[in-house]
Parts: sequence; C-alpha cells; structure tokens
Amino acid sequence: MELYCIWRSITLGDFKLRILYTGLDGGVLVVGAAAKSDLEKVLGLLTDEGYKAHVWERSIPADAVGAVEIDDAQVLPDREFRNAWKQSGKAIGHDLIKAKAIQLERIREARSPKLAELDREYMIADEKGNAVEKADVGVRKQLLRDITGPLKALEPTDIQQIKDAFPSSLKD
Amino acid sequence: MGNSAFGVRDTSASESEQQAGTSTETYVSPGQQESHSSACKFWIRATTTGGITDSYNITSVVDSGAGKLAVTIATDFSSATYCIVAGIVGDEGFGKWAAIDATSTPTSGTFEMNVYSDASTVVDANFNMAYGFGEQ
Amino acid sequence: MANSAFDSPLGVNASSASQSEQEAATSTTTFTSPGTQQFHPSASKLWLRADFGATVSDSYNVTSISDDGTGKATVTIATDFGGATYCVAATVNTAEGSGRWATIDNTSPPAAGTFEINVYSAAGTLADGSFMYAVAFGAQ
Repeated sequence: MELYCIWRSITLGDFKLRILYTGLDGGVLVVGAAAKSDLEKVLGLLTDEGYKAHVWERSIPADAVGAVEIDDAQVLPDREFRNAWKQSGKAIGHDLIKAKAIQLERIREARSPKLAELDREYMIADEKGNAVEKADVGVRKQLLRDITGPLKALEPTDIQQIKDAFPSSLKD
Repeated sequence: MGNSAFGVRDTSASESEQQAGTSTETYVSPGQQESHSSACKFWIRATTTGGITDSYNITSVVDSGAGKLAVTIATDFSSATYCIVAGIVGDEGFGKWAAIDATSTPTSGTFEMNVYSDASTVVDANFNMAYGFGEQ
Repeated sequence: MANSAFDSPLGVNASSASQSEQEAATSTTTFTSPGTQQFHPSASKLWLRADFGATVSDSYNVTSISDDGTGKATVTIATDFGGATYCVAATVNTAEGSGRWATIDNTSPPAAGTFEINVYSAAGTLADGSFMYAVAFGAQ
C-alpha cells in the first residue's frame, strides 16, 4: 500500500485544488489549496484522493452552497467588481444590481472631495459678496449632484455597461 | 554513515532531510537547524537611514528614500515566492504601516519594504523589521 | 512519538524528542529530529504567500486559502493549533503608490484551524493588494 501511494504521488506529480462555492450571504468564495507536496511535509505522503478529501473536509463549510471543483487554469473575471460576483455552476458572472450599487458608491466617493472644494469656493465668493461667482459655483455643484443620474437610470444588461458608466470627469 | 547501536544514525540530518521534515531517526545539528520548513530564514531590525541594529542572514540594507528600505539577503531563497512579514516601530499616534513593495518585486535575494502614511505617501518610521520563511 | 526508556552509553536518549518534550523545550539529553523540530516553541507553525485570487504560491502547514471578497481571505490550517490563542501576523505586498495594510480579522476571530486576513486601503476600506503573507507561532 505504501509503495502504491509513493507511485501515485510520483506519477501524477504535484497539483493544486481549486473549489468555488457561494456563502450564505450570497457572496462567492474561491478556495485555493496548498500544493500537495507542501501538505505532505506536515501530513505525510498523501494519495490524490486523500489530498482532495483533506482539502474539502477542512476548507469547505457545511453551509456552503454549490461547492464545485474548478480547473486551476480557469480564468476568473477581473476583480473590479469582485463583490458582485455570482456563481452559476462552475462559472462566475456578475450580479448587475450589486455591481451598479458598487459603482454608484464609487462615484459618490470620487465626487465627495470635489463637492467639498466647491463648498470652499462658495464660502470665499460669499465673503467677497460676489453673486456671479456664487451662482457659477451653484451650477457646478448641481452638475456634480446630477452626475449619478445616468447610472441610476441605466438598466444594465452586462457588466461592461456599468464599468463604462463611471464619469470621465471624476477620473484622476 | 552508519547507525549507532540503538538505531539512530550517527551523522546529522542533511539539508534535504531537514527540508522534508519527516525523519525521526537522525538528529538535527545547529548547522542545519535553519533548513527545516518551520525555521525562520532571516530577520532584521534596521533604522530608516540604512543601519542594521540586529539581523540574521542579511547582507545589507539600503535607505532608498523616505520610508523605503531595500534589503539584501545573505543566503538566498530557492525562488522569489517566500513569505515576508514586516512591521515598524513608531511612536504612539504615528499611525503608519509597513508593506512589501510590489513595484520592485521581491527576488530570491532581495526585497523592498515601504512605510505608508496614506495611499501613496511613504514616510520614515523609527525602525523597520522583517522576517522571512521559505526554502533556500 | 514515544521515547525509549534507556540511554546510549553517552547518556543521550536513543530516540528523538517527542512532541511534548519539544514543546517543553528543556531537555538537554535527547535529540531533535527533522520530524519533530517544528514542535519547539521557537519554530513557526505556519507561513504562507498567496495572491488575492486564492492561489497559494508557497506555504507551510496550510491546507488552503479562500478568496472571500475584495481584501478578505480565510486561511485554513493543515495541522491545527492546540487552541485559538496562537500568534499570527500578516503583511501585504502592494505596488508603490498603492498603500495597503493587513490585519487579522476579529469579527470572525482566529480558531484553532482557521484565521482571516483583511487588507485595507489608506481610506480604511477593504482592498486587494498584489500578494499577502502570514506567519504563525504557538503550540499544536
């Protein structure tokens, strides 16, 4: 049995396990296992089945939904909207409602310091008694307040539409 | 190389035996203890001006700018994927933190650590510290 | 791992130190072996380098890492600690100009076999870096 285990370890070589599942909160979790050879330094020689069983038992909680092994080479979506990932079997897509909410929050965060700067400009104009400047600042502030409008009105059908909805005027 | 009368090998564990970490029939010598996977392979405490106050397996450090320290290891790791943990000594209220630089990515014999005060500003701390684990 | 009951002619125990002897770290009449060195209190019990997509690039005594979302990862230990009060530290590898720092999560506090790493941006929000590292010490 021991010689068989050694043979299995040598012939199949080293590999890593990757598992995908959905948590109770709906978030997607991706589990990457340590290499079999590294685990063997602490657990002793493992068969491939023993390695997989150890990883599954230790790493996947009982309440995991849809836990499935995926190929280590599988390309995952980029992480720009990581917290909007949605699992469909072995594939990962996006929950567009979540992604839209994330993008709206990013727009608000990027807008916040610009609104603060306009508040300062308004105060200076007010101290000078400059009504023209105050009106101009008011217009620019309203433009910033309205900057979330297009995304709010969007009914997206794919993630790229949400990515493209970030206003270029807010990009550094 | 043979065994003592009681079955224990009379020569110490080799580097590869230490790295495998399985044998219970040979003894560990001070000269090979560090080769075990559990053993720290380097540690360092340095000032921000390139002075090493204490270290293990470090050749040198370079003060490469405010809040930036480049470290050269004496005996290299076997690859660039070793584990590095870093910290700083800073006065109360300093509120800064250390990270390993990915722009000058770690190599098997070097790494850089930066001390941040915000997303992009690096500043000096009182002392920089780092520890490394992995295979040499 | 049991000790034999007799000594060699030189007064040194003829079998390697047990886990408990290593953990006590007091004997000078038995020897350490590669199979038991890790039980000494001075020895790290775990270390890890991984990216934010749950790929473990190198590790010791780690079963897996889970990408739980932006800036969040759960490390599953292969051979557990004896309790949940072990010492664990984490550091992030991040591009220059992209200040990030790592902490150990206390909302889901460390357990004997798991701990969570959170990585924050300078704004205090969870954010990815390039790689994360962790090291841990304690009794198993």
